[in-house]
Formats: sequence, C-alpha cells, structure tokens
Amino acid sequence: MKKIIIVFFILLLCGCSDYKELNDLAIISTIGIDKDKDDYKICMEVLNTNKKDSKNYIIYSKGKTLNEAINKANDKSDKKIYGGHLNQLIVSKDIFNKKNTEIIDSFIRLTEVKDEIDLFLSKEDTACELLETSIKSNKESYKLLDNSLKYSSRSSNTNIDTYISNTLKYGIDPVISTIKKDKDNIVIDNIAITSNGKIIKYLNEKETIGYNFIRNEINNFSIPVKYKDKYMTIKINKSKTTNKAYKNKIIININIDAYITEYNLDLDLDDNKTISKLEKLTEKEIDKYIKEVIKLDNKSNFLGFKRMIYEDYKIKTNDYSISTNIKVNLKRKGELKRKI
Amino acid sequence: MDIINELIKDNPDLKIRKLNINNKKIYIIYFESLCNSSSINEYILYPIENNNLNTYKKIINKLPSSNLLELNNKEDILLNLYSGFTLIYIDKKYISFETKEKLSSDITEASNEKGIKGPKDSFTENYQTNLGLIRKRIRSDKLKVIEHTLGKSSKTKLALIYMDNITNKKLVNDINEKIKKIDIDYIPNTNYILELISKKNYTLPNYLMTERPDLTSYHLMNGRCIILLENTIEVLILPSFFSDYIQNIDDYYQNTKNISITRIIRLLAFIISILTPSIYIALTTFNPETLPTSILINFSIQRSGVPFPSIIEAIILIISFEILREADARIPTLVSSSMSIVGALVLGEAAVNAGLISPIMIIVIALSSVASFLFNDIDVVNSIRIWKIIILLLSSFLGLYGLFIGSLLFLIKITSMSSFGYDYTLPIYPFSLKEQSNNIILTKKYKLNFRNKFLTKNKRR
Repeated sequence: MKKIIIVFFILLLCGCSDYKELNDLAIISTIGIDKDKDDYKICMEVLNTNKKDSKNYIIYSKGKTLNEAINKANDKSDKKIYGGHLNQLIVSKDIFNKKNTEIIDSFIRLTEVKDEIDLFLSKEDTACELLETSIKSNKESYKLLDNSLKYSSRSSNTNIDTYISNTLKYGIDPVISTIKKDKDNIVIDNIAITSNGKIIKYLNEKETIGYNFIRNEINNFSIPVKYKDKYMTIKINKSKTTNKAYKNKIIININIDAYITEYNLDLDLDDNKTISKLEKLTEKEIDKYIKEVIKLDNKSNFLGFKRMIYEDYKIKTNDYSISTNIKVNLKRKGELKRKI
Repeated sequence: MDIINELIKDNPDLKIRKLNINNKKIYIIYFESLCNSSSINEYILYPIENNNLNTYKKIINKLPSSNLLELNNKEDILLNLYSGFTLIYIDKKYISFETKEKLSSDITEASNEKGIKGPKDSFTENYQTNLGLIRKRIRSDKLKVIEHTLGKSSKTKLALIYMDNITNKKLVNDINEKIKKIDIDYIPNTNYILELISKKNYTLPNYLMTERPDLTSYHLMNGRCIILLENTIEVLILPSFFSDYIQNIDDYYQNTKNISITRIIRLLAFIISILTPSIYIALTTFNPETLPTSILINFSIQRSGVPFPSIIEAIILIISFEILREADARIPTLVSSSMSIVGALVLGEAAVNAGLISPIMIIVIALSSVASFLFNDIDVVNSIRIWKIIILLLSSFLGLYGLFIGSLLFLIKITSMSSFGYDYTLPIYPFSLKEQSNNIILTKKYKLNFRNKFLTKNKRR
C-alpha cells in the first residue's frame, strides 16, 4: 500500500509537464523567411485542422530576430504554434546571402523543431509569395514538393542538418535547392552552389544531373542518346557511384544498369557488338554530364573532392587530378508480353 | 427411530411410510425433494409387499438394488438421507438404497467456451457425470482419483484427478496436502478451492477453469492435475501458464501449419488490447512529433471541437463500454439485441455527431475491447482491463515514458508470477528451445510425439 501511495504521488508531482492536446495546436509545416528593411519578415503555413473550411492558412509576423518573430506569431494565432512537424524552410535570396548563419543557428537551437528540415532558396520571388502560391494551388498539402524531390534527378535537396555539417567540414561546401513560381504552381529549380556562405552560381540542368551522378543520387532518369541523327532512350535502372581518392588522384567509378526503352537506330540489336557499341555511346553521353560539372570544381568545393583526400590522408591540398570511370551495362533480358 | 423423530420436526419434505407386513412394522424414510418416488415405488415398495419381505436378512438379499448399504452411526444415516438415499428401518437397523432424483442439467453444448471443431459436450453440475465424461476419454488404470468431502455444512465432494505414470508426484502431494487443510463451511464454486489453496491472488489467472471435458483430458494426459467439484460445471486445471491463453484446445483439431498464424494473431490481440489506448494517448498528447504529419492532421481534424481532454474521453468510453458489457452479460437474451442497438447508436453515432467524443477514440477503444474478447476466460478479459487502465493512466501522466514504465511493470509482474511451483512464463522464461515447438508456433512432430518437459519426466507420447 505504501508503494502505491508513493508511486501515485510521484506521478501527480511530475505529471503533465509536456502535455498538449492535439486540437490546441497550430501545426506548422513551412516557414518562409523574407527581409523587411533590417527586420525579418516571416510567414508560416498553418495546417488546417478544422472540419469545416479546408484550407491551410498563413500567419505573418515581423521581428528583429527570428525567434522574436516566431514568438510574435503566437499572439496572432488562436492556437499554440507547434513546430514539431516543420518540414520546409524557404529563404529569400537576399536575406540568405547576408544572414544564413544566423537563420540556421536559430533553428537548431529550437528544441521542438527537428533537424531534417528541407532547406529551399527562392531565387526570384520572395519566400512569402511562394508560400501564398503554394497554398492557393493545392489545398491539403503539408509538403510543398515532396514527390518531385523524391523522384527527380534534376534536383537535390538539402536539409538543415547536412547544411550545417557541410559548412563546418573542411573541403566541402553545401548546396541548396531552389524553387520558383511557375504560373500558379511551385516547381523545383536548379541547385545553387555556395562558397564561404555566399551563393556563387546556380547550376543549369546538365550540371545538376552531373552533380547527382557524382553524389550517387540518380534515380528515375532517362538519357537520350544520339547516333547518326537518330535517337534512342536509355532508362537508368540502377546507378552506383563510388568515389575514391588515391593521394592526389580522384577516381569516380560509376556502375550503371540500364534498359533501352526507345529505339530508332538502324543497328541490329541481336548482335553483341551493337550492344557494346551502344554501351560505349551511353558512357560517353554520361561522361559529358560529369565533365560539365567538374569544370566548376575550381569555383567551389561543392563536390567535396578536397574532403575525400582530407578524410583518407589528412592532407589539405588544392592540387589534384580527377578521372572518371563509367561502366554501363545494358540489360537484355526481358519478357515478351502476351497478347490478350 | 429417535434420530428420525427428531429430524421430522423442521423438515416437511421428510417422508416416513409405515408398512405392516405380516404384523411386522417396516419404516421407509426418504426426502421427497431429493428422491425419485417412482423408483421407490418400483424397487422398494413393490418387491417388499409382493414377496412379503419382513426380516432384515430377506430385504438385504432379495431387494433389487446395485447400491445398498447397512448403516450404524448417526452421521452416516444423516449423510445418506441428505444425499438422496432412501432408508429402510427394520429390526432396529438401517439399510440405505440409492433412489436419487436427477437434480442437474443434461450434458449440453459448452456455452462459455466455443470451438469450431472438436467435441461439443460440456460438464454438468453432477459429480458422477463429470467424472464419467473424463473416464470415457481416458480408459486407463493409470487414471487416479483422490476423493475428498469438503464443507462442514455443504459436504461437497471434490476429486483430485491425475495420471499415475505422467503427473509429477510432488505436485499431486502438494495440492492434496493443501486440499486436506481446507476448513470452510460451504463451497459454492471451483474458484473457492483455488483461492483457498494458493496464497497469492494475481490479476492474471494462474489456473485454467474450463467446462470442456476434452480440454480437461488433454491437459490430464500432459501431466497436469484436475480438480473436479460437485455442483459446479467448471473444472480446475493446475498448474497453468501464460501460453495457455495463447493456445486453445481447438488448435489441436485443426491443420497444424495454419495454427501458428492464429496463435500469433492471439498474441497480437493481447498486446493490442492492453496497449492501444495508451499508445494513442501517449503519442497524441505528449509526443506528437513521432507521428507522421498526415496522421497527425487526421487525428487533429477528428478531435476538433471535442470538449474533453483525451484522457477523460478515453476513460468515459472505457467505462461506458464496460457498463454495456456487464449489462449484456446479465440481461435476458430476449432484450439483449435491442440493448446492443441502443448501445451502438448512443455510444457510436450520437456521441460523435454531438461532438462529445472523437471518432478516432471510439475506434481505439473498440479495437482494444474487441481484441480482448479473443480470450474466452472472463478472468483474462478482466485482467486485461485492469492492466489497460493502469498503463493508460501512466501514459496520460508521463507520455511514452509512462507507456514503457507500465509495460515493464506488466513484464516484471508476469515473469515473477508462479503457478504451483512452476514459472508462469514457461517456456519463454526459463527458456527452452524444444518447448518453443508448442508455444507460439506448433509443429506436427511435437503435437504427435511429445509432452511438456517441464511438467513430466515421461516425455514421449
């Protein structure tokens, strides 16, 4: 009986410290950060949790610091602002170049917020404009661009966690994916590369694909291959990249399993020589993408080659050579579909 | 005749019939409420008058009866009278004949423990019938019965049944000694025996109580002891383990391979019924960051407008469900269908439409309650209810920590339980690899060839 009383009082004394009811929470999914002269101007997308009107809405707020702005937003909402499900952070270009460390710093200091927040840069419009368009276009989303990030090889996403670790590590610079307005919708744009905390260049489509080949992030990707004015399409099924550093030499090994999905060439596919010829052609095509992006290596360390040398040999060097070794394996096994 | 004259004062159903045969007085004494009058007429009165049986010796030799006794002392005379025997008083001696009226129900289908396959008969209130139902299944000279008479007033018969070549003798002696020490006035049901002979009273039952003779015989052949009591339809099987509730006698009548999945489902149902309400409360009120966003929005939309905190909502629903269940068990079957409609409508539709209770909470509580009904023993269902509420309260104070503290408490409790000297969580703790073939999974080889090695040394069938 004594035990029960003790347990009961322990429960009563420490109880409910973290208690919150679901319907008292304003669940935030996205925060956009803009500049308003010297102040921060933030907009938060609050997910709709009412039965009747089914639209997410935005809370605007201003402040000298980010935390002050978020705190002020609490006064404007009838529910408690809850950041446990914050998924995206959109930052305008202007404010990112000036205050990126402060923004990132204040977000990792919030205990309620998780580390894996996707980071986006808005190149042309302000962050709040993007957020407004997003809410107008789709009613029930809680992730702006979830699917296009997952399945696209023309983009790459960074979250706060990797951004910080890449900033702090020697020899590698973080990249940020950008988003833009496309009529009434939000679409993903090319990657922005940084150097010393400043955005120095936006990659074009080819460079982005090359970047993803080197970072082993290719999926769901088809390459058109040209041969004597006619095209065939190669669909990459599996791509595996292993990069290795040998003192001052970096070798990029790419192994690709691929299928032919569209074929307009005049060559005979039954011939084994044709297949190896086509494999060579594809390899050359992929090599073009990679060459394109390696050119930019002198501007920024976003490919992380210096880091690779540093990790293996503990040498800080600017003098290294890069060679690529691409192997494409065209798969020939297949099933004949029966006519129904 | 002094004894009888004394007795007749306050017992209006005691009948005394005087016969005068060849100038000799014969008294026939019986309880009208306990005896079958047609058998008295047929087997006692008719032969005596027809054959002029007027001496003690003649009656002993000529009366057609299989169960005939001479009685000398007062206690025997009273016991026989109260047990439905008819006494004949002649030459200052008492002779007793069995003329019992059948005062119990027939052998019917088991109503509390339903099965899909297998025999359907169940125990009755009659002691001899019950013993017969077991003997019918095990026709062996190794089947031993130790009989006791318990209760100072009730004089209830009790049988301790075991297999001589299989059951652990230490277990039999242990239980027998404990039964001998029982000192009680009246025993209404079998669970009295259990509470009299075991010191501790756990919430989860460490015994099996069944009305199915096939289950009883199966466990008898696996080295367990059976306690059979007069006037009840339930039989005690000792010892018993947690796994007995995951297993069911039906399992052995069905395809062995498919049964493993059924048992996994039963185990899942046990876990679901204990933990779902507390997991829901812990996740939504303390740790909403662990839920996927889409589920969180769904829950939040459903909870919008509900005036109560989640825990109050859960407790209201649990209590009203338990009230419904209790009412359903007591109400006559004629009214029960209309009541279940009212219950479903009031608790389900109307409460949600009125915005008092969120639909998701109804789903959670209904799931947990339905899952607990996979176990046909009401003691298990009630024990699940207690643990469900304990863990629910803990997690409503402490969130996921409370959930884990509660689950740990439950694990500590059942691992420290024992049933008549055997660990309750056999064969998981203490672990035995071989016994796993009849724990959650069941193998054909084990089913046909082996007995539980913890219970008996005679392992091979």
